[in-house]
Amino acid sequence: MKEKPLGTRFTQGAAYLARFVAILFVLAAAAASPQPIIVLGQRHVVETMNHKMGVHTRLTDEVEEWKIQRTLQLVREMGAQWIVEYFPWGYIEPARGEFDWQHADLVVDHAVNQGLTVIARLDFVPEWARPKDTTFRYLDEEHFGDYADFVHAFVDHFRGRVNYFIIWNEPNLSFEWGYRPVDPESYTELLKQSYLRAKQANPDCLVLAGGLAPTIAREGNEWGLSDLLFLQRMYDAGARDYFDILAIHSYGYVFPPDDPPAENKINFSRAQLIREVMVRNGDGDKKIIITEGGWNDHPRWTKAVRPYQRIIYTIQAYELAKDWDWCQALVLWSFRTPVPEKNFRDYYSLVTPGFIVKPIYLEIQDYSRGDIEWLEERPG
Amino acid sequence: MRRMADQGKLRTLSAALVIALALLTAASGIWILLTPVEPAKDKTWERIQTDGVMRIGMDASYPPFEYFDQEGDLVGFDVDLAHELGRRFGVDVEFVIISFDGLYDALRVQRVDLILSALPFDLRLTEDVAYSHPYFNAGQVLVVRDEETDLSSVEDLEARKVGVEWGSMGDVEARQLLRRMDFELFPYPTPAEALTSLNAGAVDAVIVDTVSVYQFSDANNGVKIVGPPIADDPYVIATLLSSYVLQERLNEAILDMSGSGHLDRLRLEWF
Repeated sequence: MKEKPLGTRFTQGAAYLARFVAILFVLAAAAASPQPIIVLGQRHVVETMNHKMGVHTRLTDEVEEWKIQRTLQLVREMGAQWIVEYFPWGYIEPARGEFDWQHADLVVDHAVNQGLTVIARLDFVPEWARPKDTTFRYLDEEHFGDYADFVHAFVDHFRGRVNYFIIWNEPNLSFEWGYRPVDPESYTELLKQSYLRAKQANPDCLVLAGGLAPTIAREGNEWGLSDLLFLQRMYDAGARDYFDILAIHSYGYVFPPDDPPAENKINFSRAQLIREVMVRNGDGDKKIIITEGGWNDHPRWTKAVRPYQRIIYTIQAYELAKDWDWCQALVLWSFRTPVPEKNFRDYYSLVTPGFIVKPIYLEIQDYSRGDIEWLEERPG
Repeated sequence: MRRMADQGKLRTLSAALVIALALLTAASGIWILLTPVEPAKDKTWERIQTDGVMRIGMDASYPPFEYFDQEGDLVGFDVDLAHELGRRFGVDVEFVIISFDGLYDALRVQRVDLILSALPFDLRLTEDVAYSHPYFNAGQVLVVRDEETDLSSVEDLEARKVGVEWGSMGDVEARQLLRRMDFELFPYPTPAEALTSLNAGAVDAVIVDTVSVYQFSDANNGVKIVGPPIADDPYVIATLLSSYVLQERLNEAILDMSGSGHLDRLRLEWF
């Protein structure tokens, strides 16, 4: 066997040594503490021609961080500035005084990183704060202080990251009031206690009342009470001094956004009647945020419209909100759910659970980028 | 020597034990087999039989499956299906009209015996309720003209003209296909307009939900569904997990109605 020259042997030896060092380096890197797979990355800014655009995200039950990040990234890329997200009290404070902020922090940090303004909806009563055999919407006055303490803790924890807080959800529906008759005076007391505690935590925070549901139910109806009547009774009970912004829900159902409002009709422009109640009560300087709203395009639900109508109505509604100086933001229900709901609710979304953007998402995105020629280019 | 004798005794004892255990096992088996077993009860089925009424949970907001007509009568595909089930079970049917949000709760608290309401199969709920065999598939399909012979599945759409209802799930499916193949997409305001264009030759195929196709082809001949559904959306009947006899009877009835053409007749009547 012919022996290799010395130079060649040296080169080979150096190559082996280099490989050995490289392997050692890789092993050392692997042995070091694992790096997070998802990183916040650089902070973004939402680019949009309509800064009132918002969507209600549904990240409460979204487990995987990359999905949280991807969802919020898509919100920003669509051109929406605002999100409403649900932070269940029962998830965060499962035992009195014991807080688990992990998931809420994750959602808020990613939202803030995407440049989004977060509105936090706070409800869902933990078991320790309600009697057995009641629903998670049931909160008696004895425990209002517990809820207000939670609001205080939440506002304090998220100071500098979240500045808008909705006190409860749809208190004018019996279902949302623990299947009890709705009670505007009692809700006003809850609002008052929560407002005072929130301001103690952060005097600059903004407290949103309501999340009033659009309904034409009259006094005595077992399922709810008209949002107009409920709000008036809130004012009568002294609510005016205990909220900064009114949150309302504004669904269009089968009517276009400019369909005129009427007390006995539920449509998008019903928001104007709510506004009139505020003005009548000397509260016209306050803003309204529509924290839920929009249209559904289920192919057969009688309260739905065709998909092309949904696209047009949605963009027209965003435009209308721009003209309503009393409306601070329009937040659509809903952006995306973690899993398919397998019912008409899937037809409110803009992105599928599998992150496929629906055509309506793309049209809204075009609109937010200033492309408003779409109406003439599209059929219909 | 003594050690060997001890080992022999141990072996004998072990063999006796094994035989005793085998006999005991055999005796237990025979005892279990011979003991009359009280069959598990399906209280829902028993109540239906006793009262002679089957209570159907339904949200009457989904024509043509269930809705109130201009005279205020509850009508639709599912309504007729429920009556047929009642006839086969020898009982009357009572419709309990509830909004969709309350349907599953109504079943859980046994205010209704089953949900029959254009109800999509939901994998998440299969630990809580039992679903029947599907009786209808409302998913997305590929539709072509009757005389078309070259298009038999989405794989044949390359370089073709494809119509969709703008913004619909059919549109979503078509845009997904465009990621891996090339064809021209033509959005229309409604499914009927897309299908009319297909009939007129303006497009080669349409991706749309089955109900829209059936409704269109009821008034217009000349189109057909080809290939397997692009996306499934099976409609099923939900019962409590404990209603196992009712589930069995429902499944038998659905299979029979499917085989005998009864479901097709209902479809022709309502779409």
